Amino acid sequence: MTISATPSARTILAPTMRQAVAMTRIFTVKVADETFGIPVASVHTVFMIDRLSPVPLAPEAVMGLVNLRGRIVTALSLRRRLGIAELNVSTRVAIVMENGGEMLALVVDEAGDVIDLAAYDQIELPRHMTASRARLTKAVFRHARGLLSILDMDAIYTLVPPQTHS
Amino acid sequence: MDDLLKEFLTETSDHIEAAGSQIVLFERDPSNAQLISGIFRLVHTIKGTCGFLGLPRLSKLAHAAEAMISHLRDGARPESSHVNLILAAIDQVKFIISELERTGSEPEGDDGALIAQLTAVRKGEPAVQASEAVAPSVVMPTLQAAEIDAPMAVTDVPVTSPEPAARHETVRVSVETLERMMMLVSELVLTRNQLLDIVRRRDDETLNQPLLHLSSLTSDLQDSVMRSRMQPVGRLFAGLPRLVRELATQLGKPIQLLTAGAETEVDRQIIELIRDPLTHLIRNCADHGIETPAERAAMRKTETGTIRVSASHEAGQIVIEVYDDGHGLDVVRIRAKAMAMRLAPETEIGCMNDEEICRFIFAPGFSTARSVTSVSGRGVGMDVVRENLEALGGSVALSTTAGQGTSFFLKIPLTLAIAPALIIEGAKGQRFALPQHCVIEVVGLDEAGGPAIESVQGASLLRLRNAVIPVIDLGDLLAQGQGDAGSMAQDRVVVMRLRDFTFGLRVRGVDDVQEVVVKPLGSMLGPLPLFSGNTILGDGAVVLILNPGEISQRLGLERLSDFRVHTRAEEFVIPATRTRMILFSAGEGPVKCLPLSVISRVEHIATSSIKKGDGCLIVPFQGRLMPLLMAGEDIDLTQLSLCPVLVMAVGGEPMGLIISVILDIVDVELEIEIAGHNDKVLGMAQIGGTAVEVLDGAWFMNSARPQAFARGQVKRFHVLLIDDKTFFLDMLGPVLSVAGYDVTTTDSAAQAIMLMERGAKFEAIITDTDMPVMDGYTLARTLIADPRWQCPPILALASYAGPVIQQAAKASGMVTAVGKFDRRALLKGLSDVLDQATIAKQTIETDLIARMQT
Repeated sequence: MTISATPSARTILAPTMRQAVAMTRIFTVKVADETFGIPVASVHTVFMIDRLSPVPLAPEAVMGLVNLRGRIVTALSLRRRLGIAELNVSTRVAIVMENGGEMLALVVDEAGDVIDLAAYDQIELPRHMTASRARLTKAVFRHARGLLSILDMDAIYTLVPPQTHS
Repeated sequence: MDDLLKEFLTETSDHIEAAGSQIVLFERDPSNAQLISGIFRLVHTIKGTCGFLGLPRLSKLAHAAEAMISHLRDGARPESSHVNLILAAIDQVKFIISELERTGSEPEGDDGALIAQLTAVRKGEPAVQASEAVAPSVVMPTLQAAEIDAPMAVTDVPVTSPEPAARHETVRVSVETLERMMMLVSELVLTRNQLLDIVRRRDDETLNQPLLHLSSLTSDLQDSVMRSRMQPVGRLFAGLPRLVRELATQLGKPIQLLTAGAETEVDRQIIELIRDPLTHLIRNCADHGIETPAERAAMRKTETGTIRVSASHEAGQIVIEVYDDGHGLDVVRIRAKAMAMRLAPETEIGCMNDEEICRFIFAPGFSTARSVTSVSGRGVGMDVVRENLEALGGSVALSTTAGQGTSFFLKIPLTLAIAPALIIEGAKGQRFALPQHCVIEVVGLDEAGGPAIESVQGASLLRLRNAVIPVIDLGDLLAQGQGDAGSMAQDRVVVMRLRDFTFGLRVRGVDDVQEVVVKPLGSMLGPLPLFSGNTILGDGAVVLILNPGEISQRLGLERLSDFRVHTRAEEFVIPATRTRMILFSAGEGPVKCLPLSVISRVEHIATSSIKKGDGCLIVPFQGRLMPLLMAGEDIDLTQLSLCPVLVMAVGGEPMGLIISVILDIVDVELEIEIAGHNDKVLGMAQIGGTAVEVLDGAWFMNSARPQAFARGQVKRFHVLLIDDKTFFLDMLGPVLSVAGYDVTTTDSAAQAIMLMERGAKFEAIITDTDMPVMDGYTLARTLIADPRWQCPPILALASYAGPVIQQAAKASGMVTAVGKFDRRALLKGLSDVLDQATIAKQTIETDLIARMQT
């Protein structure tokens, strides 16, 4: 059996070809030196968080509440959501997104740029990916700068409330 | 399609989806009463709303489904046939609603077959065939026609003119836009505050003037935006004529509706929230309040009944009064029903006045309606009214006059959007907001001798002016722990009151009171009942708003009793334990005092009869010799012909204390501030602003009558303590035994009676009032009634010994009632009754007062 591996250089396409192929526009973020993609349509703005009110008893991934120009926005840590230890810095980058009419801030290490991905660059989810990570991943794409996981935002937003010990 | 119908459709289609899944959950978990109550209320609301929107098909179907659900709520085992039928009914409701949405009117056809099945299965009959079920549905239209012919006069007479003289031009603005404006203005206010702060530090004159202007403009803008959210309650009144008309037709009672104060403005959010409670109340007025025309004629009332709905502003609240001129509440029936439902111990109910009795109608499941009608009378409604109002920080009260009518008063805050909040500090300086309306006071814990927190087997209690208040630490509440001991020194306790419960929240600090704009919590945070919302403070920080209802639940207060009759605030504070003291002088030196209880008589003795013998003074008294002691060293007996003597009885043998003059008898909270240096003096206390020496009665007794005194001390009273909760037996037993009583404990009334039957002798009995099988009141009556036992005095033990309990206790022959957590009152009550048994104190007191007056 032969595996028809497409060279990653394919993603750099000529403008004329680009129209023929189904493209997905993705916003990239970096967490713990790994790049993740978020559907660009759900991203509103990027801003810096320096003041955050923690919410006791909230799900673990919730970092707290932030005041985004008069709106109270729930800040979700992508690190915690992915099960990675939290950074210990006071100012963090947050991607403001909308989910079901509600504003959310996804706290990441670094905000990247917007890239276009072609449908044929999608590869299968690695079978040996941790189940907990696989649940949060929608797709994996080849890209000039390396492999890129597209996050399943619905799964990311579905938080498990902490076990109360009352 | 009219607006009311549209609103109804949107709301119902939301809820009906949930009902389907809830009933399925209930089938799996039939013990979950909350689940079935929720479904019941939903169907009840659908039925009610259908009634006044004129949707007979839906109304009939909902009525049948409600009857079935009610059957399950009352404890019938849910079988799959029940659930299938309810699901079928829900599907049918969904179908009718979708048709309504599409065409604006109910679809043709009827649900006779389904309704008949619902009725049959509920009654335990096998499901009937569809063909048999046609008959009743044919009868219905004729019945309705007859009802329409009934005399009826519905008029809507607004007291104020329905339309303002000049028509204002209006624009429809979406609520979202308003919310957005509100938010932007809040942000603007914040920015202004920051700017003001900067300018203040720079001291730049040129900026001052324009900034001041900006500042006042901002405030005006905030005010205007706030006002744009307000709407006249007239919007709420608009649907009422139709509702009353429908009710009048249905019930065959002519009813006129009067409205007043339609222009009163209130936040739009509130209008939506009081629509349901108001509808419920009006249905109740029409159904239960207003009599039939024949009854009214017999009472010489006009045949047409009146329902009046009026709104007004009152001290930052809006008050809506719903009045009907019907027969008033039937206090006798409510009382009987309350007893039958065991809403409170029988003796307590017996002592309640009419006003207190009437409040029972707000208890869950309470209904005195004799027949179940489709209008009301299923025991849902008034409790929902009360719950809805309390949920938004309001209240409901009523006043009723037999034969003349009933008024319900709904008190509602003007807006939910902005509320004063107390900002408190938790661990690591994190701030939280507490709704100001339930905060009574903030208490510091750093004062020596001030309020202090004590712990009873791990439960924290705050002792505040003799009241004992359950306290929870904010750290514990938030599962953060209490923090380090060093920071605890500055702790404060915020004392709150919610419904009838007072409780405290221990916090690290208290900031200030701020007006906050309450915003709902984000859905990502999951269910967090501890927080009712969040807000942005003046400095831009986001804080969470704590939910006092949840805090009181964490303290177990709501679970103590789900429904309590309203008691007034002052009743909770247990009056300070006061001691009746007799004040006197004895020679030179400070005023002296003794507890009146130790004195059995006051005599004036001729100094000539006092003899010196065997190292002490002796006087003949009641045919025997009585030893005398000087209360003060420097009383010169030679200067006097008569001297007052306080007679104390020691184990039946009297001794006298020579004093100069009796000054006063006072009730004081005795607190000895400086301990005495010699044996005669217990110490110094402040009474009425002057320092007074508190003498040690025991020392004098011991000096004068050592043998008798010893005998008196050896005598220990035997007390029987009854409580069904081991916790209280374990807590109070040791208290009594340390105080010098022999204690026998038992956990039921039956055990206590058995002890008595075996011949156990007690000097006093202390019993819990609220026990299973036989309560304390019944036990007291049983013991007192039986002459064999020569029943000793009985004390009632209750969670809170309020006046109602006191009365109930006395009514069943008990001496007094004391609070379980008030050990001082318990010991005082006990020593009072045991003293009463030996010396009739009352007589000494009157004697003394008479002597002082002469």
